[in-house]
Amino acid sequence: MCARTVAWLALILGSSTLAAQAPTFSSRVEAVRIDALVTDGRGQPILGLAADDFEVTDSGVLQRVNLVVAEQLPLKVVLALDSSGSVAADDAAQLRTAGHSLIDNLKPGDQAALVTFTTAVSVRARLTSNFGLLRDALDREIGGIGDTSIVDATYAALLLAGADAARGLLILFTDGEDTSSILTSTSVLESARRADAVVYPVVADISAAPRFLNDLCKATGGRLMRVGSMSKLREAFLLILEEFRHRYLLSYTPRSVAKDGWHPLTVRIKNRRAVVNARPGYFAGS
Amino acid sequence: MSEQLSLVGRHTLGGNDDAVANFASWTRRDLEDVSNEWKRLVKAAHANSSGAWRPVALEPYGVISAETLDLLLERTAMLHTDVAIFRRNWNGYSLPLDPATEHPLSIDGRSLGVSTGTFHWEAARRLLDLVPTSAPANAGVLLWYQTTAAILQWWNDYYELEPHLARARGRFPRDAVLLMYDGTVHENLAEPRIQNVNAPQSGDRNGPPMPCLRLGCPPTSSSRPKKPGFATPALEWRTAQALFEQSLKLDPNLAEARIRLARVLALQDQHEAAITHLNQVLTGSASLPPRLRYFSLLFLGREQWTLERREEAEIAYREAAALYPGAQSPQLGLSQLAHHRGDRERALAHLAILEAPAASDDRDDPWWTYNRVHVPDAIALMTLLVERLSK
Repeated sequence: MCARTVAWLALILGSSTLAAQAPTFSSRVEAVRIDALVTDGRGQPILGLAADDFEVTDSGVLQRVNLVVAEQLPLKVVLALDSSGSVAADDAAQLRTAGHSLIDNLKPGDQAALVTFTTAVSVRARLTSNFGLLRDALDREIGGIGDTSIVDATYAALLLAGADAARGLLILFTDGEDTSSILTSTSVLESARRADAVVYPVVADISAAPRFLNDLCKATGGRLMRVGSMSKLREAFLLILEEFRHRYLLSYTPRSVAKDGWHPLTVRIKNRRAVVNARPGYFAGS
Repeated sequence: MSEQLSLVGRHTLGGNDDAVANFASWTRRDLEDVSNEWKRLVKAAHANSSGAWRPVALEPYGVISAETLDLLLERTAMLHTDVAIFRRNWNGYSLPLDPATEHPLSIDGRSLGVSTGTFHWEAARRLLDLVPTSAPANAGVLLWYQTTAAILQWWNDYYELEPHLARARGRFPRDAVLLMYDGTVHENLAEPRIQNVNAPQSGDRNGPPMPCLRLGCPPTSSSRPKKPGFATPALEWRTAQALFEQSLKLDPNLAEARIRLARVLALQDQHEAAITHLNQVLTGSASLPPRLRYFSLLFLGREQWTLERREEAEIAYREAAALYPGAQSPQLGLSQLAHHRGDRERALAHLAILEAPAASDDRDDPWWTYNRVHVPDAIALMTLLVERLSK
C-alpha cells in the first residue's frame, strides 16, 4: 500500500543513526513515501541532497516532505527470474552467477527473496536475511521448460517486496514477452501503483522490451535495463543495487488532498537541473 | 502393399510394437508408393460407371467386401498415426530424414531454428480420403480427425494442424467439434508465443509461416493446401470468434466452444458479452466437466474484476479455487482482490500455494494447458478410436 501507517517510519527515524533528522510522527498518521532517483544530464546519481531541495506535489498540492537517508535503510530485494523454456542452460548458469553476486553485495539487515517463473510462478525463498538459504534456492534447477508468466510473477514479487520498515526493490529478469499469465497487465499495473516497491526489469536478447515492463517502470519509478549478452547480467544486477542505494526516500503526510483514489505526484529539484525518476502517483483506498 | 498389410495385421492399435518399429524405417518414397497402390486398388473397386462396388482381391484376405476395405484403410491409417505418435521427439520425429518437411521451430516465443516433420500424417489422410463419405466407416474417419487434431493441438503443432483441419473440415463441414478445434487454432495464433516469433504486418493475412512450437511439424508440399500463415491478433481473434459462433449454431450445448468464444470476446474488450456466455455455460448443464467449469469460473472472475465487480469476481474465483485447490490462477485473482482491499496479509496468504514445487501434482492448474487440451482430451478420444477399430 502506498498510504500506510508510519509505524515503520517512526521505528526507523527513532533509531540512533537517524535520530538527528527525525521528525516527530504519530504512529497513526497516514504517510506516503516516494523512492526517487535523481540524476544529472549524464545519468549519474546526484548525491547529498536535503529535504529542502525537493519540491513534491500530491494532486497538485505542494507537500512538506521529510527525507530519509535511504542508504541506511535495509532493503527488501526480490529477485524474479524467468525460468521458462526459452532460457537455455548456459543462460541459467549466468542467472545463478548474477544472483549470487547480488546476494554477496547485500548488507546486514537487508532481506531478499527468490521467485522463478515459467508458466508456473514459484516462490523459491520468501524474504529472508539468511543468505545461505537464498544461495541454496538459486542453485536449484532454473530454466528449460514452460511458458512465460511475467505478469503473474510480477504481481507475486511485488507483494513479497512490499515495504514495511524497509525499501522494496524488485529485480525482474526475462528474455521474452508474457505468454501465459492469467492476470491482466492492466490489473497488475494497478497493483504496482498500490505497492511501494520499485521495479527494475532486466531484459535480454529481445529487440523491443515488452510494453508491460516499460509501463511497470513508469508506474513504480524504476528503470529498464537491457543486457546485450547474458554475461553482462551480473554487472546489471550490481548496477541496479548500487543505483537503488543512491536513491532518496521522501515521505510526507498528505494534506489538502482527497483521501481515496488516484493521487498524481510530481517530484522536482529546486534551483538545479536534474532528472527525477519516481513513481507518477499512487492509489489510496479501494 | 502386402508388406504394409502384414504390418497392419501384426500391429496392436495404439501400441508401440514391432510393426511400428518396422514401419518407422520406411522412407517418404516408400510411403508415397504404397499410398498410390491403395489409390489404384480403391479406384478398381469402384471402376464401373455407377460407382457401385466391384469385388477386389487383396492378399492375404482374398476377395474382400467394401466394409473390409474401409476397415483396412482405417487400420492402416492408424498404423501411420501410431508411428507419428511414438516417433515424436522434442524437436521433430525420429524417422528417416525428409528434407522436404523442414519448417521453423520455436519454443516459448523464441525461434530455435529448423525442425522436420513426417509424411505419415499426410499418408494417413490420403488413405482415409479413399473411404466413401456414404460408408458406415465415415463415422470412424470423423473420430480419427477429431482425435488426431486433439493430439496435434496438444503438441501445439500448428504447422501440421492447419492442413489437417482444412482436410477435416472439407470432409465434415458441419461438424461443430472440428469448427471449435479450428477456432482454437486461431485463438492460439493470436497469442504472444506465436506472434513473437515473427510478427506479421498489420492487416496481413498472408504473414509469416506458422511456427511449430516445441515439437516438429511438417512443411508445405505440393500435396498440401497452401498455408495462410498467421495474421495480427485482432484478425485472429475475429476469425476464432466466427468459428466458435458457427460451432455453437450447430451445437449450442458445446460448452467448450462457448467458453473459448467468451475468452476471445473478452480479449476484444467485449466483457459483458463474455460474462453472458460464461454464465450460460455455468447454468446450462449440471454435468459440466470440472475442467470446463473451472475455466468458466476463472474467466468469469477475471471479467468481473475488469468491470470492477469485486464481490462477483471473488465468488467466481473462490468456486474455481474449490474445484482445483492447488491451482495458482484463482489464488492470484483472490490475492489481487485482497490487495485491492488493503489486506496485504490475506493477499500474501493466497500466494502460499506458490511455495510448493511447481512440478508437484498438488499444483495442477488446468489454465497451464488451456491452449493445448480439449475436453474430452486426446487420450480419451484415442481410447475411443482404438476401441472402435478393435471391434
